[in-house]
Amino acid sequence: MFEYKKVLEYPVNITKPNVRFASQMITAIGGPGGELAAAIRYFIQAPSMPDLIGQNTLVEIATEELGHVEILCAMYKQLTKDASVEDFISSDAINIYTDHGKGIYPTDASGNPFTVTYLASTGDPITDLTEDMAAEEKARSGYENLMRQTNDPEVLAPLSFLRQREIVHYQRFAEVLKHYQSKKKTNYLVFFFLKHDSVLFNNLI
Amino acid sequence: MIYIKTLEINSQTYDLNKNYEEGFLKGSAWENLYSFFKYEPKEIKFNNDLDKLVYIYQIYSFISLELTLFICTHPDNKEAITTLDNLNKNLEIIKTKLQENNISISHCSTDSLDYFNLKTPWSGK
Repeated sequence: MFEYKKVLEYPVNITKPNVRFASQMITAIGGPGGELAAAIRYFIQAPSMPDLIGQNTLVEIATEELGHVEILCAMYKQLTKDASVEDFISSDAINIYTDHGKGIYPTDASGNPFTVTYLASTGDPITDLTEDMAAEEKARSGYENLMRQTNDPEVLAPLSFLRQREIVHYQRFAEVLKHYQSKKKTNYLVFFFLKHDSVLFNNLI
Repeated sequence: MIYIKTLEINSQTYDLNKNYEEGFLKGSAWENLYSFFKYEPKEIKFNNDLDKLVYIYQIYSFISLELTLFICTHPDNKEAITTLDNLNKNLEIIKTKLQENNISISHCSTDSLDYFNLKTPWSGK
């Protein structure tokens, strides 16, 4: 059950329009590593988790991801609301304006529309949680790619927050995975450690 | 040669940042999960007390969420549960203060008209 609260999880106050950045940032909503995919993915996987540890974790994180969609919508609106048609033309984003005006349409950074093929739901908690961890890392690196494209502190502040949330979610999913692994008493073949001063990866070959 | 390792997961210890605002601005209430990248969050300033009160609500809401997520994977951690309970009591107090100032952030408030008249949060300052 949902209740909407008229307050963002993190404040967004962007005063300078930037259509070019908005046209890239849209991927954080509708792209393969985006928040919309994350929210849907975790909601539909939750009922397949065998106990409350997994079910609670997935629904709570899914709810937070929807709140992140809201933050990004607020950012997109504020980045484009005072923009002119000429701003869209000069930012190579006129095709967005033609089809969607200043509306928010979930796509990736190349303009490919959101698709449910971005997410998987197998009913196997080990598989699903491993996918969830990969999704959080895709989102983290996606936010870092966006942060490299701007020096505007009004934009960097919410992006930094959103990026950090991916790291916390990654840890949460990892702990649920550990919980189910210990239940199954099975070893799995994976090629990376989980340590987050930055993510450390073992060499595959 | 392919090296095969089993997955090793370190369970997070309870290391809540006592400075709730700092944890909120950073995006992690947990000192041991924070990872810096490019931007150092700055303190947010406000022109009036009501905006500041909404901000405090956001901070407490966030810490409540962080504790909730932690308890999902550590359901036996009594310290986290006690902290969450106390935090949620403070959240209710802040919500009541907001309502007294005609700011109802939820339609479940006792003064729902204030909710419908409240501007949506994506409008900015």
